[in-house]
Amino acid sequence: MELKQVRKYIDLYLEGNTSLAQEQALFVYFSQKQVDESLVHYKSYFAALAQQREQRFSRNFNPIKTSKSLQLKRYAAIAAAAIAGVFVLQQTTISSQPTPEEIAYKEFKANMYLVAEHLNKGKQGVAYIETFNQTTYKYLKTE
Amino acid sequence: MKQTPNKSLTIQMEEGAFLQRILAVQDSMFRLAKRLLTSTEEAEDAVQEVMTKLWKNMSALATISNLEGYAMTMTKNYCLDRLKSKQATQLRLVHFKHDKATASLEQHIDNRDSVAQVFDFMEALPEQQKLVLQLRDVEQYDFETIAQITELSEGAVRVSLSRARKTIRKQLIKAHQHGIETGS
Repeated sequence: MELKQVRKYIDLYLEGNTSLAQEQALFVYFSQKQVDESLVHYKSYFAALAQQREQRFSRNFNPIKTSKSLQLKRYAAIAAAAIAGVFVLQQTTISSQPTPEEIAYKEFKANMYLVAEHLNKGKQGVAYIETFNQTTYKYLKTE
Repeated sequence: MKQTPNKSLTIQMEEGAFLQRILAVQDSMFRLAKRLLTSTEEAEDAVQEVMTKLWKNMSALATISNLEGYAMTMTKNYCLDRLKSKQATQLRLVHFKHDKATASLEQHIDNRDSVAQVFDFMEALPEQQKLVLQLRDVEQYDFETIAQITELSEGAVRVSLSRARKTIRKQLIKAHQHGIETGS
């Protein structure tokens, strides 16, 4: 495009009076490497437009698929509920029968009570020593 | 018995065709949302939201001839609403300004990307001019479509567009001169 033509288009462009075809011609002109010195400041604007047109929506919108996956989710929920139910049932049946560990614990507990009882008996015996001491102090004057 | 699968097949085909029509506009919707909301994340959320709304209204919209214009109008309205509710929160507005100030400062120091600078110029335009410039210079819609999307008259569109372009030109010249000064 001739420089004279470009200038004319720019004037129209600034007034908002260019057609899409004329704007495209300007776009092509400013996309070339060599641009007239007097118009070089427009270059970055058209470069920015080109860059912007490259921008894309990066998410995947597919509502048809989602309705299918919703159905899948429903099946998954039912399966999860069934598994959970079986698990709870198992838990309750297990807890009614004591495990070997529980039996061992109970026995250990009973043994410990027995030990404590015997210890207390022994302690009662120790109480007589005090009476013995009292009598010794009667005869041994420490002062 | 034979009619049921046939019917569901036509529904599926209609759904597919409608989805294709929505997907054809998604990039333009995204670019518009990004121009108005600035943040990529927010722009993507906006587009997702608008597309979902369009999808839900398929039965009413399937016969519309200018679905693209309709989708763009919805995007514009959605984004402007988002901006309004954003501006209602003083804190976020201050934060936003702060972000912009540091960003432009960094750019000033770098002074390398003249294209990024142009984005800043476009960003700084008043809302309506920003919108019109985006629809014309980036999306290359005709004036009739722009008038429909923006809900303005064609005359008002041209006036806004002219103002936006002149503002940008002024800043381009200023930036260019500044570049020459620092360069020499």
